[in-house]
Amino acid sequence: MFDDHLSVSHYAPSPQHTQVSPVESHSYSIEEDQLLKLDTASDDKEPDDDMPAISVEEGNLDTTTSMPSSKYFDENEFNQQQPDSIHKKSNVTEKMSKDISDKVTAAESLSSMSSTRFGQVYSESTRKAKVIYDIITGDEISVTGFLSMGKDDVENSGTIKPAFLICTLVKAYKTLAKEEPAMRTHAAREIALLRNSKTMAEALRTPQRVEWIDAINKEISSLVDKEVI
Amino acid sequence: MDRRHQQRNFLSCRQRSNLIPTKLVLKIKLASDGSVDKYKARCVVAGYRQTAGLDYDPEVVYSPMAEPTALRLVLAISSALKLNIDHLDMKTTFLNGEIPENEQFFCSPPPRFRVSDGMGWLIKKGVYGAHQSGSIWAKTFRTRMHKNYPQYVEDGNERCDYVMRESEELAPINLDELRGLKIEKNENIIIMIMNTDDMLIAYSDNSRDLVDSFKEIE
Repeated sequence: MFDDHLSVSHYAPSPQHTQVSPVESHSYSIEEDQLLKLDTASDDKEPDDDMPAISVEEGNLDTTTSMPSSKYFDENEFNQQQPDSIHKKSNVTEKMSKDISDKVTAAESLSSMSSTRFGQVYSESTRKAKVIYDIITGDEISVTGFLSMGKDDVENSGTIKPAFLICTLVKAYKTLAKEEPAMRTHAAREIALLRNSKTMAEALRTPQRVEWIDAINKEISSLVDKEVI
Repeated sequence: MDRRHQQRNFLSCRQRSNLIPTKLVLKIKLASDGSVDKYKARCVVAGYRQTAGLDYDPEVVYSPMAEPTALRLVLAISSALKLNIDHLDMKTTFLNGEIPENEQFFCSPPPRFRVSDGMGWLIKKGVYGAHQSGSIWAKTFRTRMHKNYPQYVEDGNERCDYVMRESEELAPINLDELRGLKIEKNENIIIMIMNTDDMLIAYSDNSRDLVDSFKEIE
């Protein structure tokens, strides 16, 4: 609780640790200004979500943080899983597949590989090769700034999962913020609305800071009212 | 190694491990139309840091759950007898169960909550994330049902299924003597299935008032 005073019991560990008992009472309070200064180290230890961290404080969009290291297309897998029947069909297809294999090998030498993960933002920071190859024609297709969608992103009913839609929207707002600096504040607010804050530090940096503080106060109040602590 | 040094290390380790960390889980609840309904924060305990035997009794962490077959049976009976079905969600369920004094434990407040060194929260009731919370809530609920609602009878071996059946004159009906799926006019029947914090209630039209009063109490 931020405004009210809470009473906590003194923690007195005993050597046997068969019983713990409150020794004395103590009151403390938390001020909002101190919240941002406290325990930053402990927050750093908390696991981040898959989405890239973004700072929305004072309307500045910080996109310099590292993107998740995911891979749009697994060239290794693609190369190995070519069925034999394709190579045996005709000379044209055999030649085409050979060309594809050569290009894939060239791409492998240029890029640092990681495992395939569907529905992730294409990582520009860790990847150099930003092209995939058309299976039929063998042409290079640039995939810079695109999202990959796999079977895990589609529900059984055929609709796209909300998580992927949110991922797409966040990517779109980031692109908007990069291309049009005047829209950065708007994009930052929209991204903050789309994302569910994982840590308290993250929540207090969002425009919904007041709502989060109310929610936290409510939860701690319920603990106190019900005499849980 | 010096024995005194060994003992000091042991004590410091025990001291650290006995303070269970807590965390605030934040969640944006969306309404059915996709708009933001509310911002929810839940204080949870890192149950994986609890020590078996010290912070909880490893043999008393069982929380009864209704069998899927029992659930289907209740739905079939409700369909045959044309009963109404309602779903109740208990609010802050675990916070109602009281932890025995020998299992109470200390935990540190969530990050960014300032507290002096050596101080912590003494957890007296069930909290989300603790091993014993489910078991404690199940015990509390069962005790409360036996004490406050003796007309509700446990259904066979199912500890979380309760049946209440009364005649028009509010006289209890012995369920063991019943044969077949029949219900008299103006008869009160309530079948309740409790799955931790989710409650499914099937009831006849006459029992609506009883169910409403039950909802208010809970």
